[in-house]
Amino acid sequence: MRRKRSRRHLALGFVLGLLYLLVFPVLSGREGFFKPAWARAIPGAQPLAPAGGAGRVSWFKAGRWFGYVRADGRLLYTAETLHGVALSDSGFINFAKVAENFVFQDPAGRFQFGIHAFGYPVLDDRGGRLYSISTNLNQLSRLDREGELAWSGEFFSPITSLALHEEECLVGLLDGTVKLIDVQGKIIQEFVPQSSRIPVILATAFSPDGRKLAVVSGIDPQRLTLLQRRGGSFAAEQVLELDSDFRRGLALRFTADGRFLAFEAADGLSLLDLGKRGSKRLALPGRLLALDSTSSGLLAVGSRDGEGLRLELLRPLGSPLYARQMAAGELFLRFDGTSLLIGLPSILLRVDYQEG
Amino acid sequence: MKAVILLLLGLLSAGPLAAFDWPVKKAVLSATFGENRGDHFHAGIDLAGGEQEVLPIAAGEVVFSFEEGEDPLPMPVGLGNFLVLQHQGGVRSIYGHLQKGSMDRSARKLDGSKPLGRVGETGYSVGKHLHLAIIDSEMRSLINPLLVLPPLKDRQAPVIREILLRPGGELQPLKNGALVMPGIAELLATLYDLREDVPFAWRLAPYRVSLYQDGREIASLLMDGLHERPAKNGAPELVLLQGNRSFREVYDAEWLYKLGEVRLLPGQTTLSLIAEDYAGNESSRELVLQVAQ
Repeated sequence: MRRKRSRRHLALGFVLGLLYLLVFPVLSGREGFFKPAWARAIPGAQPLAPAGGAGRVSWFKAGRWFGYVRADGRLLYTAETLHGVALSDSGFINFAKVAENFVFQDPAGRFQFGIHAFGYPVLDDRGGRLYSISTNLNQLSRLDREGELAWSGEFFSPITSLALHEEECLVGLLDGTVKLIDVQGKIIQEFVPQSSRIPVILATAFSPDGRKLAVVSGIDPQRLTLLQRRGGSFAAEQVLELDSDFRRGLALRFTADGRFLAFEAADGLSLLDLGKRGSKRLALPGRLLALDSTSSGLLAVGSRDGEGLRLELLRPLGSPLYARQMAAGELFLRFDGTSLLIGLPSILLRVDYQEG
Repeated sequence: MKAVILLLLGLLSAGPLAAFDWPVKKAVLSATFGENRGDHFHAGIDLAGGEQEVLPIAAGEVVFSFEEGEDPLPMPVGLGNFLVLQHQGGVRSIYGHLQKGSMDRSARKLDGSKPLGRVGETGYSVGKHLHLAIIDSEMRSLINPLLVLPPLKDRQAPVIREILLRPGGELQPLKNGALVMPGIAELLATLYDLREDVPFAWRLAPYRVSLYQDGREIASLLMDGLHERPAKNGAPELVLLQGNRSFREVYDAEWLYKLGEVRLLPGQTTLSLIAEDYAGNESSRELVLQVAQ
């Protein structure tokens, strides 16, 4: 009887405690919100900012347009994409459908170098490394600024995924193998993730520090394999069976703080907590369109919602900080610090995350 | 499966036999397997013939597909919108440059009678055409689709335009009765195939090129398939199944083939070159050379 009473007291205390928290919420002092900074029409009638000078410059896409913009919203360069564009911090290659030359221009659009090349260009984020991927997807080559071939690797099976980290390339192939290529073009590691009825590599990613790899592979079942660098090679440290049945490439990305792995799931976005090995599913109204994150743990997710778009900004383990429906058909998201560039057809916006 | 493919290839060299069906009703061959694509072999065939439905070459299951502007591939895709089917025995077929929106992205299995898309010009493409590639995953090779598809009628033989010798660094066109210096020299030839169903001189790579010296075969090129070989720097490269020759070992320029080395001993020697297409049409050229003492 006594034990029963003490249980009742405990339950009552728990309920009262919950009520207290609901009625008198504790202020953390760190309420986050996004504040619009500026919006620019693209291509825009305003004169472009002169090259040089101080201020960070970020690249962006806005529908068929792309360009470089300063933090204060002054556009440095805008142009319409010919067929595709390889963008990087130090410049870009705007290439034609049937490209025979790669012309590298700096963020102000000034010519830097041009080379004769076959295939389509790929630049790393900083723009210091130039690759060419053959049109049949069977060949990856690294080129220098003079157009000289540093190395070239040919595969019998087409490339279905590519991830870059500094001097290393991680190539995922249709046949279900993953190849890690070093600066000389040598395959330093080749591995086949745990077998599925149909082998195929659907997505690959490097962690920001290059210490981890993630691979989504196979059909029936589909699996996520996490690998950890040990010495000169990578060893599998976690394999998860997924409930998805993708027959296409999918978004797979480590967050910029390296704490989470974000990837497209059957009905939304999965966020795998790499420290705790737990996961969270963010339901999306439709296909994932864009994804980016900050080193301070913010995540921006864009998805298709019927005919429109849905943008959500959140912390992976928290509730959404911002959600908005938009009518546009294409969406570009890119964080620059805690500022988020949002590219929509014919408009570029910046919103800043602030805490107060 | 290796044995099956080898058997098929063997049977095909003996007579017409098809393992798969044409993916289009009107198949106009606009590029053959192994052609020069600047820095790599053309690893499939191109089929023109206008906008039309694309059918699977056999019943199969969708392994992978890509639609421009829809899917998040982290690289530009020259194949444009493409779809990959898996067939029995680890054979996979790839259909490239499909028309935007023509693929049924929800389809998982295709029985061979339902179209998988329409011929388009997405990706790196000039004009509407289908790029078809066939992979044997078990043999880890690309196989020439024309060896496993029903034969196409054609009575036009390949053209051998010129035979050249490269004794040192310079190319020297050869004529019958030419006087050449003794030693080992590289032999090259400008040659291509033409088709009777294409009303203009559209060049295609021939199927087989054989070089004979004094009646003995000394070199041959066979566009049967490609497989990976580790190159000197550790990077893999694709080489022809027969002869293990890489792109750079086959092509000197667009239609200029490196055939092999000939040993020229003082006296007279006869070189014969035979080029053959997929319908079995042959062209040959014979040169009698005088080798200086």
